[in-house]
Order: sequence, then structure tokens, then C-alpha cells
Amino acid sequence: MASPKQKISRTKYQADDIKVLEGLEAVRKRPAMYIGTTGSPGLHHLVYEVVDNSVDEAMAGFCSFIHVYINSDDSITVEDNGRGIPIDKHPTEKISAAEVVLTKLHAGGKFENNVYKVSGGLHGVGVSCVNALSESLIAEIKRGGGVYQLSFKKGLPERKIKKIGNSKKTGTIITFKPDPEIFETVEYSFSILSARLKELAYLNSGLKIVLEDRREGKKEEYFYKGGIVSYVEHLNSSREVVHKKPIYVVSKKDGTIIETSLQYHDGYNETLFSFANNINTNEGGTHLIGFRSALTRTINKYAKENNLLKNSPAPSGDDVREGLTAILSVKLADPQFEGQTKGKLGNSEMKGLVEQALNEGLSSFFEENPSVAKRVVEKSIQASIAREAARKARDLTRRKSALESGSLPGKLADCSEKDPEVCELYLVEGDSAGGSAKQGRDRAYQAILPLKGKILNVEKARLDKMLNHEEIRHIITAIGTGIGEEDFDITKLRYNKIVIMTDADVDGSHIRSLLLTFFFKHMRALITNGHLYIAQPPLYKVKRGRKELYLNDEKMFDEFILSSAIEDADLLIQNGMNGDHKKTIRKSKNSSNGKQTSLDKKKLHTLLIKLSEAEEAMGIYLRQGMDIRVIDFIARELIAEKPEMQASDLHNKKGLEKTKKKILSFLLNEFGDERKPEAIVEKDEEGNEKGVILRTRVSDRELTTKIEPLTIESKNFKRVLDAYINLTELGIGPFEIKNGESKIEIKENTEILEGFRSLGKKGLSIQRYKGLGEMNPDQLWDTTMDPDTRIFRQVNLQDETLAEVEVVFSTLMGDNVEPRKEFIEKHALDVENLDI
Amino acid sequence: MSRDKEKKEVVNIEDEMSTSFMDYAMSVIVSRALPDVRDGLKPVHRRILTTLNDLGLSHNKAYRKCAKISGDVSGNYHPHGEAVVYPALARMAQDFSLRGLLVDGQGNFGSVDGDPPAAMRYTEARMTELAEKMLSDIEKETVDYVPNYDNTRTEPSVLPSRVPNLLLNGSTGIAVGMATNIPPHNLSELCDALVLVLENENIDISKILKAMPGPDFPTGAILNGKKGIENYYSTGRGSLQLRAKAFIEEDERSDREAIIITEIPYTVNKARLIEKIADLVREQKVKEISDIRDESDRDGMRVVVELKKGTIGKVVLNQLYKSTQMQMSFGVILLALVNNQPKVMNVKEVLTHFLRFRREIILRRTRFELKKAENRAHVLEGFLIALKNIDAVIKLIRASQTPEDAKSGLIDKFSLTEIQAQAILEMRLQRLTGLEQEKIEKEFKELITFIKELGKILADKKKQTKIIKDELIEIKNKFSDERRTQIQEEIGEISVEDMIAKEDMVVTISNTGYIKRNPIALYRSQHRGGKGIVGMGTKEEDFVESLFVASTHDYLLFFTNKGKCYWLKVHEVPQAGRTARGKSIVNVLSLSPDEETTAILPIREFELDKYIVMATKKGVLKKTQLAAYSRPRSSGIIALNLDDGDELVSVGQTNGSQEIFIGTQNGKAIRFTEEKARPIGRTGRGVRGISLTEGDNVVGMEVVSPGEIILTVTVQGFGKRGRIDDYRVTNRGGKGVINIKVTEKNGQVIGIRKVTENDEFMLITTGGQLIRLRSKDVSVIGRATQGVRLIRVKDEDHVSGLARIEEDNNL
Repeated sequence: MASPKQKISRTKYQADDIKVLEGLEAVRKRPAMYIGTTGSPGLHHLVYEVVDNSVDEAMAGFCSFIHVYINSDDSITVEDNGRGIPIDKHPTEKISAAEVVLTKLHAGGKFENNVYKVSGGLHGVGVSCVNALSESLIAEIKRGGGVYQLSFKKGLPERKIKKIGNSKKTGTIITFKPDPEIFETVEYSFSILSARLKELAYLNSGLKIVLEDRREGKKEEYFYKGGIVSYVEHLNSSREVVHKKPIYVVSKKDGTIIETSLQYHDGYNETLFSFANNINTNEGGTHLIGFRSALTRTINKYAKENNLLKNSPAPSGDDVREGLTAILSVKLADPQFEGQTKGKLGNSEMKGLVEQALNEGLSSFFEENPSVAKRVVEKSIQASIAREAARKARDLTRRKSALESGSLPGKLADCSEKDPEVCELYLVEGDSAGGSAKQGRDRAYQAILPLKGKILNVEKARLDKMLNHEEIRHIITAIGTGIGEEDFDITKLRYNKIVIMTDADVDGSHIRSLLLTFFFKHMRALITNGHLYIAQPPLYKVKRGRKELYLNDEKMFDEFILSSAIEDADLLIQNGMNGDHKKTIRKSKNSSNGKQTSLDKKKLHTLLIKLSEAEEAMGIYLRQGMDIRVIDFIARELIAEKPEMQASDLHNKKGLEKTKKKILSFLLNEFGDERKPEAIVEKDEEGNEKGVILRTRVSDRELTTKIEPLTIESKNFKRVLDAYINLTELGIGPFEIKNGESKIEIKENTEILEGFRSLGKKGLSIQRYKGLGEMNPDQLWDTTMDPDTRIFRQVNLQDETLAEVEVVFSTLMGDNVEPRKEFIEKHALDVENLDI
Repeated sequence: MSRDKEKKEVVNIEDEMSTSFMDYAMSVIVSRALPDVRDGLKPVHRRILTTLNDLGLSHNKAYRKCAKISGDVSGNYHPHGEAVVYPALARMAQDFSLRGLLVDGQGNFGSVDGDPPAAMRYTEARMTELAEKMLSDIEKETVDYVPNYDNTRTEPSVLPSRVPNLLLNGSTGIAVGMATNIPPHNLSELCDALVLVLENENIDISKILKAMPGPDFPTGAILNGKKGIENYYSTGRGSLQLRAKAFIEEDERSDREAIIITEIPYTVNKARLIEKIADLVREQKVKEISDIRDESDRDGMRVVVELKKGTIGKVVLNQLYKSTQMQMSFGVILLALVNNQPKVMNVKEVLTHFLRFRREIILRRTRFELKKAENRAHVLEGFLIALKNIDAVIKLIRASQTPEDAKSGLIDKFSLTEIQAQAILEMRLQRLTGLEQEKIEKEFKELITFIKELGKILADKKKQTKIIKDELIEIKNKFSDERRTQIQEEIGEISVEDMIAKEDMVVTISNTGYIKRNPIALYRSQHRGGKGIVGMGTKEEDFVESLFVASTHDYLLFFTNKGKCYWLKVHEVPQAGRTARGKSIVNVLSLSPDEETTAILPIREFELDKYIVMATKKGVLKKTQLAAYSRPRSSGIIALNLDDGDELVSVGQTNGSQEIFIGTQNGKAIRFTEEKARPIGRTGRGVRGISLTEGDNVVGMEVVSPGEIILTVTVQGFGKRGRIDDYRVTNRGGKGVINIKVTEKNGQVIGIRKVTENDEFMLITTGGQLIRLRSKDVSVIGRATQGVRLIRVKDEDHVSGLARIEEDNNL
């Protein structure tokens, strides 16, 4: 195992190892000081702090498994199989050590060098900080044969440490719920967490990390025996590589571990991630400098010694990194982080150490693999020739001075304001939309650049080819920053906001993805500094009578239709017919002539919204290939008065078997399925029953439905359940929709939604916008460009996810078709905007 | 400005990227680039046909301007502009693009030369009768309608096609992450195959192959090989090889040949093909073509490729197949949308989907007709009741104040329904005549039978199957035509040899390992004693070591001093000018650093009863079956195991009953029968061939028969011929007898060669001089002589090589 298992003396990790450095109160007052922001990055940072503790245990060699749950209430549970936080009394603090760790800032084993020689944790504030910023936190510790629990509210102890059971295992389980008073948002993103956890798993080979999203019933497992070699392979998975096996160099000296893996691919982009003690040093630092100089030197040296250079110039640092994918990971005892976001390693000794390690490792690799070495060198030489060509092309795009604006593209309709701070540049699809935008803009500060056709896919093109593409040259010139490592200068940015404004059709989506690729690959700083925006032109214009309204998406459209239907229509319900709940949901045919009352408008509105949400949820189930009859059945069972199955049935074998039988007999009785549905009770790795899998067919479509505790905990299912509860309250039908004098009879309560929808559409003129050119200039201004009414989407790039973002781009836009096909197949069901 | 406070959402780039990309990808997959498995149409084509139907442009109506049609398609259904629609429309009218034309075009719709169609304001179009069959019963609620892009009207989600259009016309489309490429087929065969599948769901692919032996392209041409078709039929993927149809015509007057091309592969642009051939001629890649003419006219395609005099047409044709689109491979991917999801299917699945679709259409049509008939019967029933009570009815109507009164009266009195009563009130008086009454009764009876019949169809699967079959046969009888594409057995990959004329070459190898070949005609025959011509320009201190003649199609077995054997075809040897050096042999063979070729054997075929005999410097002899060398590896194979310090000197080929003749440096020679050395395995060491005296080495070995003559040449340019019979047949391994007297003057023996009276041979000197001599000019003399002067060698120069030229090389 290439993991950095530290050979440390098995010093007892005891209460007196814990040192108190500072109090905790300030954290809640100034959270940003400790976790950066109170936005999404800060929220996710809480998880990293807790996970880092577990990873420390792993790095010390005591932990091999970390399980992270996103619970359905957006709380987080982190479970590991480490040694467990010490629970005995702390010598100076007079409380249990676990409580010290959880309540005192800068408390923990990592400050005591003999417990953890190398430790992550960026700010070193530790889990106590998480505690301070959580509405509630529960810690469960398995240690020394016992299970102990203690809990907190907003950082204050709620229940003292208490033994709650026995266990032969060890480990820590921490569950916390971020405080909504502190955070702007408390909704966790699976993809952000997954990116970081995946990264940690790559950086610590042999460590298994599981991320489970109980809201969606999603689960992923990260476990990489190959460590950073696997990471490089993953990053290159959708690329054509120059040599099959990534180069791997490792060096361990005086407790410092340097690990690097690199592999060339036939593309032109550099993907290089550096880490120090598992922390992504996105601003580089001494170790990266060492890596780069060693790489350039080794390749040049090899080229010279083997006469590969001939007459071409020696490749520069940029050249040798063209088409390079590399991971550099160092682990050291006392890391110094610098820079704005603490993303830069400052330990000066690291430069020499890394340089030496890579020089030695790479030279001997080249010596032993001459064919690979030759190809790498040739690639670098090619790059240096192309760089020369690109330089010439780039000169064309360079704006010499502000006066010489003659070099700006003729198509650019620039703004009169010169202060970049207030200026906006709209990249508009096509001349027809460009015309609308030019006439509709505020020429004081809004500039328009119409783009013709689809721009070049820069993922597949080398710099010189890209710079020969006219549209791209226009974009570069208009933006003014220049391009490429040496030339790019963000202070020359001519507009504060670069806005992608494409049509609301699929070709617009395509152009948007091409533009995003360009900015991601070549002007990444614009994204990270928040200059890139996406305009949202409306999708619909609806007109009822004199009233006109623009609607941005299908959901808004639906809401509009429903609420305008409610305005003049009522739902009449039969009184006193609350009988058999189970039946009420689907069937309510036996009409009676009881008295009718109309439903309260507010309630009606809630009901319709819930119903449409349930409909959407069912749509997702359907797209996921599930049988919605089964979902429907379970939802009804769970809210029925005399249910034949309960949620608890899904937790044990007997209950699962029962559930399986119930579902099967329901399908047979209700639908008499000619093709026999199949069902099995599924087991997990340890042989415990955990769910029922149903295989059914509905009109030629194979459906697989999985019913497990996670299924009914998921948000989707809750939406269905919610709607059904609302429906049950209505009792059985028939219902009537009364609109003035006319009445529409609704036989089944499931038809209520459609009834109101068709009512809402009456007398409505709907215009579905396909292109921006379809709008009058003033309409475009009102809906999309007026700062008072428009809603821009700001494109955001998080450092934690950079590696995954790279993979997304190379998969979607790269040369290899197979990974793209897989991606499409995997995500085909999530597509919502199908343009037909 | 207040813009700082403006509302904004934050999106992560990867989310925005995947959403945008997936929206695009899925839309292109589902609604742009891929055809539906049922009607075989992409949305744009479906919308064109729908519009033609809307405009009532059936095959017997007048044509309508294409601009009008494209405009309607674009405005009503297809939100992409006429610029996209018109080419799609035009293609549907091109007889070289579609196997079953769907649009009947009036005007110029483009040509196989890639000429564009005339502008859409000129051209006119209407449906073909076949296209109408794709729309038949559309008014009978047979297919679902969906709202168009702006919700102003509806369009059919699929056409109720009676024509198996997907396989009839094929389809090509590149979506995102996937593509489809389906060849067209013959309608008649397609219908037969459909009937087979209809009758037996579990039918074997091989039976389908019998009914429908393969694709049938509108441009004809030849499908080469059945393997690709089989793969495609059974998996949905396969590579088909399409070849232009061409023949060779001989012009008797000028004695020249010409290649006539009459059909080219599907989708190949003829004009560009001709350009490509012209390019090949210009770039000297094909030198034998003197002229190309496109003689195509209204009678059909005819491209004439005139060849230079004395050229073999077949060889040029093969070259054209190999290097132009006259031969292309059609990579089938049978991908279509099933339930709006892309799926790769085999042919049977596609046929099954179509049949299932037909059944659905028939069911929906029948239900529609049933409903209509029942409604009519209901009205007629009312009429009949009214007619029965006609007087009472008239009375009631006359007595009524308003039509409403009359209606309710009728309903009450005669227990009619509202519909019936209304119909009676609207009935014309002439219906009361006796004849009309009979008519109504008759119609009613017929309707009842019809309703029963329809009911039976709905209930009986067999009846539906019969209808499907009948309709298929109807389509077949009406529209099918002859197969155009000829399917032939595999001709095999055109190997390089097919494109290279058989020609004798002089292969020259220098001492430092440069190799080249030249046509033999380059060397003129000279008289004895001449200076020779330069056969190879060598580097300083290099000299020509080996020279022989072989056909371009022969194999060369390279035996090296290390006892290894390499393999090369003569044409793979680089051709270079007469005085050029050629290429270093390490670029041609992958020899190890200190390895040198010492013997090269041209082989025409690896016959089983042939043997390879090898002799080493130290006198070891080894005999092995020739076939043992037929499977070479690029890294070489072991030819024989050598003792330390020994080297391979000569290699010969025998038929198993010949004699071996070995000559040495010091003028010794031994002759023995081949049977004395039994054949051993390829990697064996061998046996003793001749016992050498100290310092002597073997210089050569020949395989001989009694009566033959051996030529011996020495370092100083002397030589002699000697009859084999003069040498005593001894046992293998003896010391041998004197072959030539080795003196100061003539020097040591450089080589021995078997020659005949009419043979010619070449001598090479270390200085690169070459002389070609007639064998008969060298005296046949006794064994113990010095020989005669063959070449005048300059100072320091001496003979380094000797090569025989075969008798039939008519130089």
C-alpha cells in the first residue's frame, strides 16, 4: 500500500494528549474567520473538518473506513472505524476529553506530535468549530468495549457523556446539523461532497470512503488501491493517453512523503493538482515549483543527451506540460500555508525535496522506458513549435492600447462607458438575436458581440488552431485580457460582467456549452473571479386579456396556469364522505348526493402545488425506470388508516418478505399483469436483507423498482406522500370544478390537477420563445437585460471540484466517444428540457 | 448604480455544463438525428410528408413549388428555417439517394456529381404513390398527435406507414455520442422477410438472409463478401464492402485497355471520384493511366479510364479500388429510436418492431371504423323505425310547434335517441320513396355484417396477421423492382500484390547493409571484358556484397550470420535509382545490432516437398523442410543453431533428391547426394558437410544435379566453369577434391555458382563496379586449373560478389 502510514510509536491517545489552546465563543460571532464563508463553501467545509479527523486516524494507520451520510434533513453523519476519541477525563479541563475536543478550539491530538505525525485540517480549528456552528451535534464513540454518547446544541453541551451500550468495535460517529441562523444555505450538494471525498480516497490509497445521500437514495463508494496513480488514470479516463501506465514516483525521507504520478495524453491541456497533507494547494507553492522545474529539467536533459532536439528550440515549462495530467501529493509534519485562501504551501525546504525526488524518479523512468521518453519529448517539442505559431496568431488578438480600438472586432457594438467596473459584454448567438440585443440594450454600459454559428470546440483544438478561429479571436479581443499563461492579464478586463446570452433552444444550449468550455479552458480566472454570467431569457410569454407575463421555465408556467385557474374557479367537494382512506386515493366512483362545499382557496392552491410536485416526482421515478404503480401503492399503504404494511417493515427480513408478497399480490390483483412481475429480497455485503427489488414490464418497458428504507426517506417520495395526505383530507369524490356558471365533473381525485390545468389554459395566449430574435428589442430589455428585472446566473467554479470539472469537460467535449456515450446513458433520464 | 443589488443565482460550472450539454445531446438524439424504428423517418422528413399531405399534393395532383412546401414545413412544424428543410426535401426526390422515392420532384434535384438542386423557387414537388402509402389511414386515428412547437396545431408523432421505410431507404445520422448508419434494401425482399417473421417469430437469421440476401443500394454497385452482411443482420453492426462496377474494355485498334466504370458505391460523389483518380495520376501514384473521361449521359453512368499501352487493366483497377472511393466500406450501425430511446438492433428486431407497429395501426384503424359504422347503423336504425311508422311520424311533426317539440315528441313516442330523432328531422322527403327505403334497409344490413366483421378482426389475432400480410403483399406487388446491387462472394482483401505488377527485380545488398531493388531492364547486357556499369552507388569503404534477381511477388528469406531467418516480400524492398544506395537493411528488417544478412533466398511458394539446405563457414550442413520457414515473425525466427564463431554462408533450396556441392576458399569442393543429410527441425544444429583443413572456410554451397556446370570465381577476377560430373560423388563430411588452383595471380575463391550455358552472371567489385557476363563466354576447363580473366580489376579493387541471372530473364 502506497498510503502514508506513519510508523509512529503506538503512543496511547489519552485525555492528557489533548491540549486546550483557545476558547470557542468567537466562532459563532465571526464564523467566516474560521471556515472562510457562511455560504455553500463554508457549509461543506464543516463536513471536511469532521472527515479530516477521520482521515488523520487513517493516515496514522488506525482507520480504514469512513462513511458519510447526507441525511434527509440535510444533517450530516460521519462514521469511521478509527480508535474513537478518548473519553476519559482531561487532566486540566476536568471534563471528558471528547468534550474538550468538541468544545475547545484548537484542541485535538494533532497538536501533539507523537499522536499524529502528519495531519490534515487546514485551519486547525477542528471539529469544535463544527460544533459551534451546528444547531445540534451528537457524537457517539465506540472505544474500550463501550459505546458512549454526548450531544450539543449550538455548541453548548446538552447531554454529558454517557455510556449507552457495549461494542467490541471502535470508532466515532458524529452527526451534526448546520445552524440555519448562521449559514445562508443549509442544503448540501452531493456533487461537491463527492468530489472532495473522492479526492481524499485517491490521496489515501486503501482508505474506503462511502458517501450516501439519504435524500435521493444515492450512494457512492470510493476506494482506490492505486492511490494517486488511479487518480491520474481517472482524470485521463476519457482521453487517449501517450503511455499506458502513469509514471509513479515516491520518496520518503525524515517523515516527509513525496508522491507524484503523471501521465501524458494526446490533448493539449495541462491538468495538474497539488496537495499538501491532503489539502488542495490550488495556488501552488514550493512543492509545485519544485515539481515544475524538475519536470522541465529532466525532459530537456533527456532530449539533449539523446539528440532529440535537433534544430528545434528547447521546450519551455509550458511545453513540457502540454497534455500532462499529474497529481503531486506531499505529506509533511509542519505545513505552512500562505496565500489568500491558504491554498499555497510555503515550506521552503519542499522545493528542493520535490525537485530531487522527481529528478531521480523521472530520469530513471526515462532511462528504462526509452520509447515513452521519446514520445514525451517529441510531444514537448511539438508543443514548443506550436507555441511559436500560436504566439504569432495571438499577436493578432492583442489589443495594443486603449486608443487603438480599431483592432476591436467590427461586429462588436461597444458601450460608451470605459470604466470596466460597470461594463457588461453580451455574447449573443447569431446575428438575428444580435440585432434585437443591440437595439434593446443600454448603450452606456452594455456591449454586444454577436457570434456566428457554433464556435470551435477548444477542448479538441490546439492553441494555434483556436486562435485562428475568427469568432474566438473576436471574443478574446473584446474581453481584452489576452490569453495564455504569459499574456493573460485580468487587470485588462474590459467588462466586469461577461454574459452568455443564447437562445432558449437546444442549439443555444450547445453554444453555451461550447462557450463554457472556452472560458474554462482559457480564461478560468474570469470564472473564479465571478465575471461570467448566463442570461436567462424567458421561455414563455402568456397573455390573458390585457395582462402580459414572461415566464422563465416550465415550472413557472405551470404555477401560473394553476393560480390563474384558481382565481375564478372553485373545487366543490362532497361532505362527510371520509371513509376508507386507502380507496380514496385512486378510486372514488360511488358518487353520493351529499352536500357540496367549496374548498378554501388557499388550501386549494397548496393542494394543486403539492399535486404538481408529486407529479414531477412520479415523472422522475418513471425516468429512473421505476414502476410508479408500486410507488403509488406504497405511498397509499403508508398513509392508510389500516395499513397492511408499515415503514418499519423495510428494516427486517420478515417485513421485507411480507412487503414483497404484498406488492406482488397488489400488482396481480389490480392489473393482472400478463407478464409475471418478479421480486427478490436484496441483501447487502454482510448478508443482511435490506430491500426489495421488483422487476416489472409495462408496455414493453423493463422496470426495476427498488424499495428500501432509503426509498421512503427520499425527498421525492416525501413529495408523493405529502400530496397523497392532502388528497386524503378531501375525502372521496366526485368533485366538481365550478367556474362561474359552468361546472366540470371530476370523477377521480387524481384528475383534479389536469382539470385545473386545462381550465387555466383557457383564454390564454401562449408564446413559446425559440430564439432571442423572436423578441422585440424592448421585450428583450425588459425580460433579460434590464438590471432591475433580470435574473442572471453567475457561473461558479469551486476549487474542491476542479478535478471533477476537468473530467466533465474532457468527457463531454473531448475526442473519445465512448466515455461521452456512457455519460449520456447515465444522465439520459435527468434531462428535463427536451426540445422536440 | 443599483445594479449591485440585483438578483442573481449561482450555478456551478459543471452542473451548468452537464445540463446544457445533456439538453443538447438528448434533443439531438431524440428529435433530430435518429430515425424512428416504426416509420424510419427523422422528424424533418416526417414533417415534410405531413406538410405534403396537408397541401394535398398526392401523386396524381399538380406539383407545387418547393419554396411553398419548405415554408409550410418550417412555419407549421419544424422550427429551423427552410434552409434546412429544402435539402432534406430534395434528398427525398433523388433517385441516387433513396431506394424508394418519397417525393416526386419536378426540376433539377441534384446529381450524383454533387451538383446542388436548383433553388427552391424553381423546383416543384409532390408525393410519390409510395409516400402516400406511408400516410394511408392517417385520418383514422391510427397515430397519436402531439402539439407542434408553438402549440398552434398538432402533428403526427409517427406516420402510420405501410412501407417498411427504415430498412427500405436506410438512414444516416450523427447524434451526440452515437450515430446511425443503415443501408437501404430491396422492397420486394424486405416484404418477403417481413412475411417470414410474421409467420414465425422465432425464425432464424439465416432464413431472413435467404429471403433478403443483403442491402440493395439505389446506385447499384457490388457488395463484396457475405460475412459483413451476416454480422450486420445478426448484431446490427457490420462492415460492408462496396465496390464500383467496372469492366475492362479492349480497344482493338490501338491495343490498349480501358477501365469502364458504370456504377459507383452509395453516397460516393462521382465528380470527386474522378478528381481523385486524376490526382493519383498527377502525383504519379498511378502511372499507367493516360486519360479519364466522364461519358455519362441520360442513358446512365459511364466513366472511361484509358490506360497506357501494355498496361494490365486488372492491376490498375485494383489500385483504383484500393486508393479511391471506388471501393469503400459501409459500416452499418442499425440504431433507431424505440419508444424514443436509441437502441442498436439486429435486423430481425427491426422487422419485428415494424410488424408490431402494423398490428397496432390495424387495430386502431379497425376501432375507428367500427365506431363510425356503429354510429351510422344507429342512425339507420332510427330511419327504419321512422319509415315503419311513417304516417304517425309525419303527423307528429306537423303537429309540433317547434323543431324541439318535434324532436322530443319523436324521442318519447318511438323511443328514439336524440341523434336518431335529429337525423329523422333532417331527412329529405325523397327518402320516402320505395326505392330509397330499400336502399336504407340494404345499407343497414351491410353495415351489420361489416360491424360483425370488424369485431372479429379485433378479437382474432390471426385475422389481424392476415391483414398485415395482405397489405404487405399489396405493397410488394405494387412497388417492388429488381435488385440493383450485386452481392458476390468475398474476393478477399486486395493485397498489395494485386496492385503490383509481377516484375523481375535486381535486388542489391551492400556490405554495410544497404538494400534496394531495380527493374532488371535497367541493366544492359554487355560483352565479356567490358568495364561494367555502376550497379550501386556506395558509401566510401562500402561495397556491393550481394545481388540477385527475383520477382516482386516473391518472398525473400533473409538468413543472417546469427542463424536467424527474416521474411520480406520483394516489393517491400525499397526501390531506388540504379546508382542510388538504397536503404539500410535495419530499416527494413529488425536486426539486432551486430547481425548481418549472409544469405538471401527468393521463394515463390512454401511447397511441402521442398527443403532448405544451409552450409556454414565451418562446414556444417543442415537440411530442413521449407515449410518450417513459412511463418515468420517480425523479430525473426531461428534458422539454425550455430556453434560459437561459426557463420551461415550459403542457403539453397532442394526437392529432396538432389545433390549438394560445397566449395571452399582454398579451392576445395565436395559433392554428395542430398539423402545423406536427413531433414531436421528448424532450430537444430545440422551435420558435418565438409571437413576443412586449417584456415580454410566454406565460400559457397550449391544444390546440383548431374550434368550441370559450376562457375568458380576468384578474388582477382579470374574464373572457370567445371562440369559437375568431373567431381566425384563422395560421402558427406569428407575432405573433398580440388576445384580450382588457388595462386597469387587469381587469388582465393570468392564464390561458386551453378550456371547453364545460356546463363548470365554478374560480378561485383569492392569498388562498386559491376560486370555482367555470359556464362558461355567463360571456358569450361578441368578442375586443377587457374581459370581465365573475367574482369579487369583496378589496383586495390577486387571481386567481392558473384550472382547468377536466371535463364528465362529475357534481357
